[in-house]
Amino acid sequence: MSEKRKNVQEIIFYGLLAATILIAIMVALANQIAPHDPLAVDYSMILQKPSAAYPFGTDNMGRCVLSRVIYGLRSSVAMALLITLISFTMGTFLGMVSGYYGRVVDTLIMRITDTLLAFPGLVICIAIVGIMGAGWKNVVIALAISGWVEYARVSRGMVLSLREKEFIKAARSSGCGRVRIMIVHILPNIFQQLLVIATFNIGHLILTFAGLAILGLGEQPPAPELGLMLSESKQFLQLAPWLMVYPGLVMFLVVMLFSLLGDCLRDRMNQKTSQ
Amino acid sequence: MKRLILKRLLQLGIILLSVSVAVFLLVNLAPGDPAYIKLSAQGETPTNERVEEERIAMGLDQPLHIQYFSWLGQVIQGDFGSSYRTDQPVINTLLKSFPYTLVLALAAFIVMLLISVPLGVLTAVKKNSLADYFIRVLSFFSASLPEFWLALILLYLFALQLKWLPVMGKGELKSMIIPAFSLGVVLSGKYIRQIRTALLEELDADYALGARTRGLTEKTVMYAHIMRNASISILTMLAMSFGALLGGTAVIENMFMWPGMGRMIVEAITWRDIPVIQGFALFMAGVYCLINLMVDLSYGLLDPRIKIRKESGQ
Repeated sequence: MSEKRKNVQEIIFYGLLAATILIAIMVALANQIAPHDPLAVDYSMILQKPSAAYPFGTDNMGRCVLSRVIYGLRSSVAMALLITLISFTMGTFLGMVSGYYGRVVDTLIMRITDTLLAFPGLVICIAIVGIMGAGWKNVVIALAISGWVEYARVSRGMVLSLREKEFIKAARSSGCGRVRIMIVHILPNIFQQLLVIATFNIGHLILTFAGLAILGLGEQPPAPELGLMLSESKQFLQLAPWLMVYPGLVMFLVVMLFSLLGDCLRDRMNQKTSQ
Repeated sequence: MKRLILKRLLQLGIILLSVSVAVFLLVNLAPGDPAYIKLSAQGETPTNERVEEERIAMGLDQPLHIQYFSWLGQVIQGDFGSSYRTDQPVINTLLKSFPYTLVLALAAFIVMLLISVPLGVLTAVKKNSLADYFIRVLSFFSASLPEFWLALILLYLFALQLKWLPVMGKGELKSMIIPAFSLGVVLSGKYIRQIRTALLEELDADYALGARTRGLTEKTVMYAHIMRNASISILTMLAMSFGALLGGTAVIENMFMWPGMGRMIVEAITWRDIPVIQGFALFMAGVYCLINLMVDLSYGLLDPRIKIRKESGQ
């Protein structure tokens, strides 16, 4: 690859990273940045067009759309990170155990992943949340239950191929225990690839979280949630299209950001391994 | 081939059995007593005695494994129990709404095919051209689009502004256009890229190189050789997406009041109708696995190379 092209890629990568950090700061400081209280109802300001005081306009209860979008993004991102953290840890642990110990443990864990993969799309999440009851805690549980499978499958596969490598054999023959080999020698080697998966998944989780809210299974009104805002906006589509435009646009941009970031991370990793 | 089919069917059986255990255990996650939930769903204010009677009537006093096997025995015969709320057999509810989801998924699938196949081929044929970059950027955009947002935008443009399409339908064809289109466009973003990759992977294959050294033009190599070889795996990949699509229409269905599975299940959840939720999960998993099995087997039938590889156990 030419030097110039490589430089462009570096710039893009750091640009994306900067954008991600900016969003992280924005949602962390939501209280300071949001111009209004996302829940404050003001019946004198119903369905106002975007203006200086309300940059994204107001909704049918006079609430500030911009503030609601900021808080909504905060809960989406926080939820996506929380679910990713849980499924990443759980999946990687189970996958490594499955790959390294083999036999019964492996069969058992892999049969569980087969079972979970037998449900298409949102079906398993809908069923779990549907039975346990709506609310963000149950959504987190449902998405973590379906989310760890991918990490487990990938880490298992990588452990299987690493297990026979020279350096692992060397570590074993120099007396390292199983736990030590897994944590010190195997984990650092598979971490990067799992991180790429995690980055891709964050965008997907944000969409799923919004989708479940639209189904009435996630966050409940009046919580500021991007999916809920979209589903509430439908009633006022003719009168106040801005209610639909901004939450969707923000969700779209953030999802795209994470998927671009995932792409860049993957390319960088491939370059490193091919060098 | 027969042995392969038998082996696959056996695998399917094992997976469906574990799916049934999972779905059965789901009920134990439910906060509250199913007997109590059932009575309240039927509009009673249950007393302790009534709940106790109902528990025995529902067999909830039996040990868990006996409950499971008697439930499984019914499920195998196509009896998914009856709805807590309406007392109707669950299977009827499922079969009533499934065709709507099937039609919507099929329409979305066709939209996806019509967009992603020509564009995917174009990007591979005109690799690194302006058109390639443009389509790839567009596909990246569409893959990140929330389909429910796209649906609202289309609704605003085509139903409210241009008034070409109905805002809300009752399951007729015209009201399906926006939902199907939104699902199809979002999905095609992903598949344009995958079709491109699948074709480009073949570019450096030995047979392509051989064809080139025999003096064939790049165009002939692409259309007559590469495309033919890649077509089966591309078709399989696309067909697999259909099963996933069946489970992915729920949000759109609810936004557009489309009377499919997704709409039905949300209603069942509101009433905490556990047998319907169970039946839904089991049914969807069964259909999904069956579709994937059929695609997988036809893949082997269409491509003799795969058939041999699979039978020799690789």
